[in-house]
Amino acid sequence: MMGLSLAYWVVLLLFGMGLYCILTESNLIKIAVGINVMEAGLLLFLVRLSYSPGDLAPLMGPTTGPGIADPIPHALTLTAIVIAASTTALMLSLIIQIYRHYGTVDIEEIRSKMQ
Amino acid sequence: MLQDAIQSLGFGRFALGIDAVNMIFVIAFVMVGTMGLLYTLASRPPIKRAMLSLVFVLASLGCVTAGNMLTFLIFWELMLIVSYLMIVSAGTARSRNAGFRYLLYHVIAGAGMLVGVLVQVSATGSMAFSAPTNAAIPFFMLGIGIKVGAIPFHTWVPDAYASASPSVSVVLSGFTTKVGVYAIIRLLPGVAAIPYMGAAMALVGVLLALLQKYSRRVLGYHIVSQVGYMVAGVGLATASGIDAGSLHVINHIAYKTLLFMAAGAVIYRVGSDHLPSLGGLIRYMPLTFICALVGALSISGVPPFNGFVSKYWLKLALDGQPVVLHALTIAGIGTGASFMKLLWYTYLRDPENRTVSSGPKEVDPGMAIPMLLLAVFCLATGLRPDILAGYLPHAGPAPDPFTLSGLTAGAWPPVAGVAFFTVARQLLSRAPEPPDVDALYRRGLVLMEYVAYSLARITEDRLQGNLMMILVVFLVALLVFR
Amino acid sequence: MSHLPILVIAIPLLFAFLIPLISMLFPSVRRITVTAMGLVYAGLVGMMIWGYHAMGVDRVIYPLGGWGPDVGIVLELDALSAAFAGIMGLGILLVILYSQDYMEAAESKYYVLLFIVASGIMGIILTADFFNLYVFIEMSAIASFPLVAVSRRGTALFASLYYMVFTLVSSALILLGIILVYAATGSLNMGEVAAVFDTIPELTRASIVGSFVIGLSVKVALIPFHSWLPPAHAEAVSPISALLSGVLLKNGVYMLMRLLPIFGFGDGSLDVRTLLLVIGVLTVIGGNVLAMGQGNVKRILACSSVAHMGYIALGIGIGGALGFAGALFHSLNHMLMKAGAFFSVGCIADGSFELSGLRGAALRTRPAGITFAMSTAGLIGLPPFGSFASKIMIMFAAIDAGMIGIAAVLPAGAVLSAIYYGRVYQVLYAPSEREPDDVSISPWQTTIVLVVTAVGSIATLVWAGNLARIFATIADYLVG
Repeated sequence: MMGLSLAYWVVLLLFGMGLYCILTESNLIKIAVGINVMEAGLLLFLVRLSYSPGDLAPLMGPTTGPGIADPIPHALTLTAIVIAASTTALMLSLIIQIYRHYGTVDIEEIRSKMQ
Repeated sequence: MLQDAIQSLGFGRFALGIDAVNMIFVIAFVMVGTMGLLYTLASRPPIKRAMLSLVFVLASLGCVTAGNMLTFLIFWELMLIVSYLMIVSAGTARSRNAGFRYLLYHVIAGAGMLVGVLVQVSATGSMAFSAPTNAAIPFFMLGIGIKVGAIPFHTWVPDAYASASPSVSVVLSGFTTKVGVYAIIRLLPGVAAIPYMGAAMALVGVLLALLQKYSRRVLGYHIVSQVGYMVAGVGLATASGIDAGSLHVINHIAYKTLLFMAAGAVIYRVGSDHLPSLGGLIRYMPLTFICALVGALSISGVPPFNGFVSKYWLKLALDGQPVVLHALTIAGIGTGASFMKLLWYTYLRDPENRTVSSGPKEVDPGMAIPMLLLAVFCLATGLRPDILAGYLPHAGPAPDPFTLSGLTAGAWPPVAGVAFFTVARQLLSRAPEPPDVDALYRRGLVLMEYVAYSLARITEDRLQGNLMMILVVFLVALLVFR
Repeated sequence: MSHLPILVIAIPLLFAFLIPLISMLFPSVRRITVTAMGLVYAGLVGMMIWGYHAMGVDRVIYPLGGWGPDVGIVLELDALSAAFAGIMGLGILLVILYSQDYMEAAESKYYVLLFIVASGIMGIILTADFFNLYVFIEMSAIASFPLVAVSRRGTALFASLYYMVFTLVSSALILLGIILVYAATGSLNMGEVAAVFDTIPELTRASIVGSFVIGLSVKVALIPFHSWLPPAHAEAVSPISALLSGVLLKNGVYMLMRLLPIFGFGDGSLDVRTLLLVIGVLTVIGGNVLAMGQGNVKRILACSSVAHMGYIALGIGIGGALGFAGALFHSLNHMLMKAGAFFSVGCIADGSFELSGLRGAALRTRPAGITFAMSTAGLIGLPPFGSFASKIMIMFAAIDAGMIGIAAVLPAGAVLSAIYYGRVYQVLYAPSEREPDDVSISPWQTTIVLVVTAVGSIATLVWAGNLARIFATIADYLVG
């Protein structure tokens, strides 16, 4: 397990933290944050995949081949960041609407108010 | 291979046909269907109900003329939908509840039949009728058992037929159980348990009928009982058994419809079928009384009416099954007693309260004519059984029932029954209406719904708990499902 | 035909962007414009399917921008895509037409979102690239979240958030799977991945298949991942409930049907078939039991959707082509019946959907009362409605494979559904004290939609022979 580079440990940490946050926090905003952290972990994983130690950036000179970092995951990550940003925006606006309606962002309180 | 499977499922291959086996059923359904529809129309029902009755008769005809199992199934379920609609069309809360229970019973029956048919198709590769494989038998037994009203699934019969409005129960009562009997001939030939099932039905039906206080419930339980006779007959899978059972089908459908018509006439004119509060109608509705009498004599197997003939043939066919034979004989005694009771309370005795005797009119010709026609039919086919014998599945030898031994065998049970009733009348009138197994089923249903409700409340709206589930199942899946 | 695949995705997007402009500049023609747009969309989908059929090949490949599968994104139209395109296209058209009357006062944003969903769905169906799939999944999902909340009621907002969180978690799982696919094979093209999938080490394969199956199970709302569905489908307005139940759930079904053969059903790494069978049985029984405990008509219909997804999961899990074909057929039937049911309920109930307040309501609405009875009778599985045939196919597949127990679960589910639908009938069709002339007749556009769903559910049984053969051919080509 020590063979895994530091980045993968960070990925696991982020993913786990995010998941823990989603599963245990009662504040909706914190749940939204947790989702973001989790996705950050996934995206870090994606970026790390493109790189083997010693690779060059695919900017000047050849863009594919051995010794050059893979540009495809970079493109994927950018797309995924955009998607994550829009979902976060949507989630936050929903939370604001819920707050206006129920006066709280605590999930337990909202549940009891709904009953 | 796959296309073969689709082929054997037979989608799109619709087949209808009349052959030796279903000829008598077709005749029975057409005849009674026509009489029943005439009767229904005479009570001037809303057009929807009349249409439903017509469609129901047609669906039943489709069912018995089906040429393969798929067509049979489709019409079977169509009958369910239409009869459900007929029951709830009465509009009362009671009919809606009875309809709901009826729906449940028959959806379960349909489910059993469906599995059975598919097991059969899988084993034989085609949708044609054939001898059942062992795996299919329990499913067919479930489906057909509910349909014919076998114990302990019989409770829907009195429940549904008594709760529907009188104008439809005449048409309703004739067909569903008989289609089940037909299904035994086609799908379950030779299963040894069936005659015993029939014997149980005959006995339990009569016993419970004796204790009922509403004439239509009495008739409903008698359906169970008489269908038990039919089931015993066709379950033997011998030529004489099938013939006797089929003859009993057409005879029963005639006299039971007649009896329901008479009971319906009473309800139509008097407003109730509660036996303890009726009486003396012989003075005001003599025509109805005669028809009811003919029906009662037929069902009790008194010569020279048609019930006598088919019961005699059944007894001959059951020669090798003493248990079943004796059960049916006892049931015959009970039938006599029960119908004596029915006639006594409705027509013969002096009513306890005078309000009923303020002159209900006789039924109008629209209802009287079908009743009389059926009564004539019962007498005619009783005197000359060979009219129908040619149409029976095996067109079997028609032993003459009008021998001395035959006449005595047919006459003594109803006489004993009448005697029993005369003696036990007071006792019977004080006995309460017994609860039946469906009290158990209703409690089961309530329990199930309570469990469902609690389950729903517990799992609802728990965002994080349910998310945890995803994680857990993901891990379990990775670990366990290798 | 040559450019229809991309047009089918791009045109609805274009419409989505045009609608606010048109509403601002020519507000009076919005209704006609939206109807026209919906018809154009359906027409394009229809033309695409027809063109595919006319070309007579197994697959039509449309590389985007001319880049080949090794560097670019490729759209692929094969029989499975064509079938689902037809199902979804029809569903969306019905939703658009129904919304015109039901959501008279809707802002144009509603239709914008609807068309984005339409575009996203076609994208999912047509794409042959894993990451592109993810993008379109997110597109249709994100557009659907505000659609659930459109009524701005408190419970609807919460339901939308609930739905959102669940979907995002499942999308994260799917993204994880996609990342692993790329890490293991170096390609994102479905065809290329399918070719080399067997060479991937076992643990990685198991993780990929596991992430996808669990992620997709959330989307299809199988038990125990179903709990987002009842609130979302019940709190949304009726056309959106129909959209969610009838169309968006089938997204997940399509993806399962597309991806599982690519992953070889997890053979050698994860026993997906058994997993689906277990989940399927739980879902059929659990979904129906949950529906029995509900007092709100829409929640009953929603839990019933869960159960029907269980039937489809069983169909896929049984493993052979016949079960697959039955699951395909059932997707079509369920779309028609569930959409019909939600559309009718929308007409029948005004305001509240609690059963206690709906006595006799179905008798006072035409033709929604009849359509509701027909749709729900179909959902129980009775003839003459199409689901009778699709159930038979799935059951027969089970029996043929020796799993009589599994086969018996389907009619057991039907019996349970008869219980709660029977209760609904008892209430909805109870003649009440109100005058029978107090009957409300639906507007013509809604009536057409209702009639189409009702007739459609019968038509699928009438044409069951042909439809079964078509679906069997598709299944054979995928799984056989």
